[in-house]
Formats: sequence, C-alpha cells, structure tokens
Amino acid sequence: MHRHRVRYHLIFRAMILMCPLFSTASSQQPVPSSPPEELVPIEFDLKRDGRAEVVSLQRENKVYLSVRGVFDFLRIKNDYAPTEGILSGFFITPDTSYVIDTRAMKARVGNRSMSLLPDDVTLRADIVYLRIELFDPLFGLAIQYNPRTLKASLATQVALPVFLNSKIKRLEDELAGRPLRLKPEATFERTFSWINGGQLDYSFRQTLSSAVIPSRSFSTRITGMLIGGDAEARFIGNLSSGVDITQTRLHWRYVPVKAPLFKQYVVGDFVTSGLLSREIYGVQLTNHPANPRIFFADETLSGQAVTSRGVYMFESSRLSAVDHSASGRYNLNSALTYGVNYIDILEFGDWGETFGSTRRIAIPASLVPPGEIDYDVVVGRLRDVGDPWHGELSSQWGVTSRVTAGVRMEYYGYDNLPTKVFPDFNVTARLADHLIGEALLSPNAFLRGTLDLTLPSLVSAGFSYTDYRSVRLFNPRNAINEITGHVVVPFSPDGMRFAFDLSGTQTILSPARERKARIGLSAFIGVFSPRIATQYGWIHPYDNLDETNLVFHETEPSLRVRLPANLFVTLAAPFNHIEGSFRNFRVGVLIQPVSNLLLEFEYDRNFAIQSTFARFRLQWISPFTRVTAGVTRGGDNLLFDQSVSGSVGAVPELGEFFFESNPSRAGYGTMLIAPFIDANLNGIRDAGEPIISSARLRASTIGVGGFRLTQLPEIGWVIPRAIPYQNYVVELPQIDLENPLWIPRYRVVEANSAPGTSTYISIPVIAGGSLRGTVLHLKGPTLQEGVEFVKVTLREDVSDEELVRVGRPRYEKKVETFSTGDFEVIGVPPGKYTVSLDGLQLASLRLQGRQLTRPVTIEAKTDGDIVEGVNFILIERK
Amino acid sequence: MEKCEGNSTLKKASTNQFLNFVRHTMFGQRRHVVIAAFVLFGIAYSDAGISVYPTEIFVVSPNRSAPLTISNPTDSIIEVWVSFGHGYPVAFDSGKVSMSRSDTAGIGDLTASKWLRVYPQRFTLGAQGAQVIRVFGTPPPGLASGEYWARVVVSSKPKNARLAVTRNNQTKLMMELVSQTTVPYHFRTGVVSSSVVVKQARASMDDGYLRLRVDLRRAGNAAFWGRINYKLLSSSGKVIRMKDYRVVAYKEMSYSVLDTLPSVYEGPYSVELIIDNVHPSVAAQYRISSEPFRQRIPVTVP
Repeated sequence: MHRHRVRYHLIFRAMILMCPLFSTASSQQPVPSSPPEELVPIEFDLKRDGRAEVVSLQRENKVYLSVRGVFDFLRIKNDYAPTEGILSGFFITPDTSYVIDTRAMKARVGNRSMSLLPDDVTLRADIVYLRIELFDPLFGLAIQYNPRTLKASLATQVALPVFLNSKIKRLEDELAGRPLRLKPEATFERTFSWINGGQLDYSFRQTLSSAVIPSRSFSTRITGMLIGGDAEARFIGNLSSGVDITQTRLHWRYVPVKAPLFKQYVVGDFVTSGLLSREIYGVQLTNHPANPRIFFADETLSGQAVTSRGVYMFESSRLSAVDHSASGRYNLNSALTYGVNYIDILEFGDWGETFGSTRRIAIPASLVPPGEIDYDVVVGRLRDVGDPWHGELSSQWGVTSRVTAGVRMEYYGYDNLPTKVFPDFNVTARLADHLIGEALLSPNAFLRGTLDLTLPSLVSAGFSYTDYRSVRLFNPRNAINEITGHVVVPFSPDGMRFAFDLSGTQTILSPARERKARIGLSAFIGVFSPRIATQYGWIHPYDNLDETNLVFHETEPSLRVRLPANLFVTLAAPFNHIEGSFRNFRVGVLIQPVSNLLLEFEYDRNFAIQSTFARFRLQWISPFTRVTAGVTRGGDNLLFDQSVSGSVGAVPELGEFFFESNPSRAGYGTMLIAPFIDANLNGIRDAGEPIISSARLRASTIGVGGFRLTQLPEIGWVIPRAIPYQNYVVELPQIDLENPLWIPRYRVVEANSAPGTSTYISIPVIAGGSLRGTVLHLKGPTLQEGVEFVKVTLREDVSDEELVRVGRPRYEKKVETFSTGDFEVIGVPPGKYTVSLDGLQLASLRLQGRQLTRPVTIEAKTDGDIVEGVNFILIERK
Repeated sequence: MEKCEGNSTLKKASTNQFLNFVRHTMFGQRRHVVIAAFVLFGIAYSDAGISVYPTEIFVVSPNRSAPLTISNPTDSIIEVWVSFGHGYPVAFDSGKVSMSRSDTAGIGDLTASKWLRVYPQRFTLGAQGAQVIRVFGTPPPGLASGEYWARVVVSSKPKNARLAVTRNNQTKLMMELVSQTTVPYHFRTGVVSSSVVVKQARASMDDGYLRLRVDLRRAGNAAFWGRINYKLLSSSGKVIRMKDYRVVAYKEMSYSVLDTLPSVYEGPYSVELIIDNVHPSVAAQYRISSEPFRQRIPVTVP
C-alpha cells in the first residue's frame, strides 16, 4: 500500500509544483524569513531487498532522512533520548556503537568521530533527520536520491541486518521446499557380468647410477568386474626378472544386490582388522556394507532458547532445521555423519545480533549405527614367516548412538605363542560431544584405554594407557605398560595463527623406564610458516635408580616461506644439544610455474658424517600421464631416475579409454550419464541420435549433495571417481535443458557404482511441444473479452482397450486461463490429444460454447512442435 | 514507429488522454474504464514488485537459449507475461539517457525479436515466489555474423487486485497497474567485435564539482559493454579521486558525470580517462576483447 501512497503523493506534489506555472507571472510573493521546509514521505529502495516508505525533510536543496525510518527498515538499533538529544545504538554488531549528539553536534560510529555542521542534522518531533549525504561518511551507506521520483536508493555490500533477515527467511523457505531426498523415477541396478570394464594404475621407474646396478621396476594395480563381483590384482616386479610372485596380491569380492546374511564375500588377499593389521590370504564373509558408511544416525539436539525469534541449526553452513516453538526449549534433529560434524545453533536478535554456539560432534569409524550389528568371519593364512593360519570371528553392536560394544575371538597359528586364541571385548563411547573414549580388553594380549578430546576451538588433548601381557606378537619390546598423552592448543592473535603442541610417552620396560617428550610451536604469519620443536628422550635404568640419563635432546627450527609464482622455500637445521652441534642443514625449493609443471630441489648437509646430498627433480603432469625425472648426488655418486605413472580405464559401452595422470584411480567406479535426443521415440539410443550438449546435471549421494557433473563432449556427463557400490542420484532438470520443449524420460535416476568399471546410463529425451490458446467471451458482433479462471484440460487420446489396460491416460494436464483468457501447456509429449473445457464450470459462470472440445496433435520435431490458436468462443447462457 | 519512454511518455500521454479519462469517468456511458497506467520501462527492478535475473542476456551461437529468473518479492499474487521488443538506450544532447523502443528494428539494426520464444510465456507468481523461464531462439539458417538484439519485456500486474470505486451507481472506475521490466537480449553469431570511439571528452572543475562529459560511438558489430574509469590527478601525478561508471553503447551514447570533489587547491590538474570492456555485470566469457581507450584531459581549478 505504501507504494500507492508514494505515487499519489508524487501526483499531489506535481500538482503543487504546477500551481505556480498557472499563477500570474507578475504576482509578488513575500520573501520568507527562514527557508521553507516540508516533510515528504519518499520511497526508500534497498536494492534487491525490498523498499519502505521513509519520511524525508526537504529544505532548500537539502534532503534529510529520518534516521529512525531508515534504520528501522535496515534493522539497525536506534534509540533516541529526548532529554539529552542523543540518538544512539549499534551498527550491525553490538561492538560498533554509534552516537549522534544533536546538541553537541557530534557523531561517532565505532572509533570514528565527526563534527556536524548546523545544516547536517535537524530535530523535528523527537525524530532525528540526517542529511542524506552523511549516511555514507558515517555509516558507509551511499544513498542516492532522485527528487523527480521521490525515491532514495541504496545499493550496498555492507552486511546489514535486514539482509540477514531476508537471508534467513529465504533459507527457511528453501528448507521448507527442499525435498528430503530426490525420489528417483528410475533405478539402474547392477547387473551380472562375467567380465566388464577395467582400470589400470601403473608406475614404471628406471634408475641409472654409477654405484649400483641399473634397475627398471614397475608397479601395477588392475581392477574390474569379474564373475559378477569385482576383482583386483597388484603386480610388482622388474622388467629384467619379471613379476615378483611374493609381492603379487589377488583379490575378488562379491557384493550381492540383495543381501540377507552377508553383504560381502571376499576371496584372496586382504588385511585383517583385529588386534593386529596383517596381510592375509583367505576368505572373509561380512555383513559390513561394501560402500563406506557416511550417515551415522539422527540425533536430537536440545537446549534453551535465548530469544523468541526461533532457533536455527546450520550443518556445514547449510540451514538444516528450525525450531519456532513457543516453549523456549528447542529440539533440533541433526543427521550425524561419520567424521567431524560442525553444527551451529544460532539465534538472531531484533537488530541482527547473533547468539549461539558451535557444536563439534565427532563420530569415529569404530561406532556402529545404533541398532545395527556388524559381524564378520575370516579364515586364512597370514603372509608372514611360515604362513601361519589365522581365524577371526567378530561382532560389533551399536547399542545406542553413543555406545558400540563388540566381542571378538582371534586365532593366530604361530608356533611359539603361549596361547593361540585371543578373545577381546571392546567398547567405543561418545562420552560427550567432544570426548571419545575407547577400551579394548584382551586378557591374553593387552588392555588399552584411550580418551580423545577436541573442542570446537580445535584445542585437542589425548590420553592412552596400555597394559601389556608378555606375548611377543603384541609386545615386541617386552614392555609392562605405556602411557601417552598429547595437547595441541591453537591460538590466533591479530590475524596470525599459532599452535602449541606438547606430547609425551612413558614406557615401562623390564630393565628400565623410558620417557620421551616433545614441545613445539608453529605459526602462520603471512607468507612465513616458522616452527620450532624440541624433543627429549630419557632412560631410567632400574639397576641404578638414582641415575636419569638424558639420551636424546634435539631442537629443530624450521621455516617455510611461500613466495609469488608458487615458489616454496623450506629451511631446517636440527641442533643436537648433547653433542653441542648442528646435526644437519636442509634446504628445499619447490616451484610450480604452471599448474602441470613441478620443479623440486633438495640440499642436505649432514655435519655428523660430513656428507652432502643434493637432488633435483622435475615433474610434468599431462592430462594422460605423469612423468618424473631427477638426478641425485650423494657423496661422489650420481643417480638418475625417471618414472612414468598414470591410470587407464576402459568403457566397453563406448569402446573408449579414459586416461588420468593420477595413479590412484583403480578401485573407484566411473558413472557416465548420457541424455540423448530420442528421435524415433523407442527409448534406445540409435545411430544418429545425438547426445544433448547443453544441460546441467547434478548428482548427489549420501553426505554429498548437489554437485555438478563434468561434461565430456559427445559422450555425456561423468562422475569420474564414484565411490564403489555407492548409490548416486542424478538429476536432469528440464528447465536446464537448452530447449524447454525437450522432455527427459526420467528427471531423476539412481544407480549403483561398481569399482573398476563404468556404469553407463542413457536417458532418452524427446522433443515435445507447446500448446497455446484463448478462451473468449463473445459479447457482441465485434466485442470479445478473455475469460479468466476457466479450467482447461489436455488429455491424451487413448483407445478404449488401452484405457482398460492402463487405467488412465498417460498424459493429462489441467490449467486455468489467465486474465486475458490465454492458456498455455508446455512440455507436451508427441501424440494426439483433446483439449476440453469444463461444462459444469461454464454453467456456473452462465456461459456456454458451441464447441467445448478440440482435438490437437503434437508432432515429433527436432526443436519441438508449437501449436497455437486453440481458441474457444463462449457466449452468454440463455 | 519509435517512441521514447521514461518521463517523456508521461508528457506525451498528457492532455488529451487525461481529458478523455475525465470524460469517461465523470460523464461516460461505460460502466468500467480500465486504465493501464504507470508503465515503467527500462529497469530490471520495477515498481510492480518483480525482479528479474540476470539483468542482461548474452547467448553465443551454437547455444540457443538462456534462463531468466523472475521473482515476486511482494506478498501478493501477480500475473506475469513475457513478450519481445526491440530497443536500446540512447542519449540526448543534454546527456539525458532514455530508452529508444520500437516493435520493429530500425534500419541497420539486427533484431532477434522475430525468432525468439519464451517458455512459459504467461504464468502466475505467488507471494515471494519465483519462476525460471527460458528464452529460446530459433535463428534462421544462414544468419550473418553479428550481434542480434531484442528486449525481453516482462510485464506484471496484481492478480485479483482491481481497485473499484463506485460513483453515483453509474460509473465504476477500475484501475489496473501494469508494470514492465525489460532485459536486453544479445545473440551473437560468427565473428563479433565491439569497441568505442570517443568523439569528444570534456572535463571541468568548479564549485566543488568535477564535470565530465564523454560522447562516444560504438564501433564493430556488437554493443559495447564496459566501464569508464576516471582518475583525477594532481600536477605531481598523485591520484586524488578515482571512480568507475558502467557504460553501455548500442550506437551513440553520451555520459555526463557530476562528482563531488574533496577540497582541492587552485591550480592545474588532469583527468585520466580509461574506457575498457570490463562491465561488472557481464561475465568474463561474454566480454568482447578490445583495446582500452585512454585519454588525459587537463583541467584547472580557477
């Protein structure tokens, strides 16, 4: 309404201004003693964020704005004390207070003060009017005033509270409209294949030296689908002697789509996850999912609200929940994921003040989702001397979202063990948001308890105690017990970043007590990153209790400097306090002049053994491979080395190979999504049917939402490193297609990625059409008027047999006419349709038509069919 | 037929239409008089309460379409419809900028309005709602190189919000506020080039103001989108003031700058003028490379 008032005022003012034009030119007006002034409501327009009516005071050529009017709209706190004549408040944040003193004629905003002239500020009816030009120097608000339109405009980058309000509202609307999870219209399940795809990571290295025999070694890792599962083979060897069988590792895994008992069947080489991590070849059956767990559990975070304006929860800076309950107590549901969850629980005051706290909730991988039980069975032979047998039965139960308890029974077939069976009981508990406790009780091996604390400020501390049994397999140093602890305290004075760290270990050995300690301080100051760390080592022999020997004491100062052009220089010089001399001096220079070229130089002078080591290395990264060449000088020897590494993947559906320079791609899947124009409407991509080149595809998976896909010309869109066996949801929004008349067969699809191979998803897109028409009321021989709100139905023509079979037409759309009587339907698939009006509705409108249905045909055309002029003429019902 | 909009439209629509309006309202036989009034044109944020993003559209062949988001920041329901016209800003000798608009292109203009379509063409926007529309071009085959212009005209009016005033049971005045917002559309095909030729640049300083007037003409076959950067330099070369202004030149254009100056002493100064192709709201991929124009103009504070 205020806009209308402004307009009427504009007209009124225009009429007032015109009055002198109509008055006689000779009329003499008395000259006023003081300049006339007028209170004029004007429109205050905040660019992109709305507008409001604000009263201005206009005197001569000067324009003043009501500070209260402007600041109330911008949500900047303002209070006027009439007795002192002082307007005060704070600007955006409570620590930036401001004062406008209308008697002393001074203004202060934060630390800045300014003297005011008599013409700068005016007081009328306890409202402070400030000259429009002064909002900029005082508050950084450059307000532009247009006297012809009576409009003041403000375009600013200042983070005004009004922006925060609208941002919060926008986020709330977005949250309300955000689907919990996109519902796929089609799901592409994994299918059985004897052999499919393949990914090869490779690395070849050649060394030539004046001191040792030249060598040409290789390392490869091959993954792909085999007999319905995924297989992996690692080969290491030398070009002259061939593959080293002892280093060869083979692995095959079957992951059933529907898994009643076990989710993974593994045969071959893998690594145990019991008391010891050892390489084993054998069999593993487990119900642990093949894809990494990302989502842990929903958890309700509760607390007492400070304000009554609602409590907002942001997870990873994204609004995820709002509680507007009037009780003052909030309950917000958070979807916790594995790893560290940063959750901001915020409230906003009337003037943009922010209250709240950040919660850091750590979910370690050892916690099992509440209510779930993980179990696995392992049988095989360890890759160790004598290939001893190993067996493992374990079960982990997520008792609650805070506690996971597990039992395990392990068998180790080593000959010299006093016992071969090692049971253990383990517990992981979230004792608090920031505190994780773990206990592992294995009566035959060791007992261990750990506590880990990390606060939202990243101050962290850890403590661990281990009580050993005398089994050499788990206690090679023959220790009795060991205590370790560490503390890291980061702090940031004046924009610089520092971190203080302290760690210590005490190990009680049979003959002595061993203690180690390290104190360090590191900093990030602009381009400099200095660090100094001192390490101590003491041994306290039991045969001489009075003697405490400091056996190690070394201080290492180091400095890393980041210079322009991606030049990094590192210097380090460890000082041995016991010997009273520097141990060595190291210099490293790394430069990356362009993104795909890396040059490294290292120099190390060891003063203890009087030797010098120098190395120069060049790395070139092409889109297909990575080439490295280097020369090293150690003493009198020179060593030249060259290596080539990368990754190659095959996509059988396309007969294509993909190359990558990073040799760590094997194991990941590749997902290719190819929307194509289905010209013959058969749902299959035939020769000549092009891939759509202009679209925006988005994908999401649990924990990773809405990332854009990379486009490969003529091939489609790709998720290059898809997590194996992970479900991905891909969205092809129709509005993002180049032609709005194109209709994707599926707008949302879901597919499961397979490791070492590609998952190819083709989405047919048909060119539909648009239909436009008008419903007109014939009021006379030449007078006709559009009829609004008339219901128009577009329905596909189907035969009676098909209607019986399908139940209802495949396409039916209902729209209403606009104020002009026009209606429009877009994205109509090709076919025969009937457009009809609702006779009952027309009767209620006292209208009738000679023809209430019209047949239309949408034809399949490359750019879509446009049907216009589907008009209906209505007359008054008699 | 071309018409100039802005305030001049209101002036042209003045006497006769106003008298007709009064005649119909006070004495007419018709019961309803519907007036489409307050037609604003040429800005991307209109009084009827819609905002449009982006505020300019560039499409480079072979792409054929571009999205346009229309938002309703008000709390009322509005009806929106989209059409196409042809137009571009022009400047009068006084330096006042106005919009030259016509339904058809002028002589020598390359227009895209004939082969543009929009989907959806008409729709309803709820309170605080938004709609993405697609402006889709079907350029005829064999189109000559160059930049083809159009203006996407987004019109809106409140839905079900007609104001009715009853007078003596005979006449009912119904007022309908229709607003229009236009977005310039540019379709580029083949080789395009754009630069500006400065016909005249003048600067003066007095009464605490710097007055700068730049008359320029666009060269090449595409509109020039860029900025004027000026620096006020002291006789020793010290920068006293520096500002940027956005520049859009479809054909000929004049820019007048009136800038408040800080306290300066009497004496000689100079204004360094740079016109380049960096327009803040044009994405880098749509900038047409051209050599920046530079000129230094001596000025004296009397």
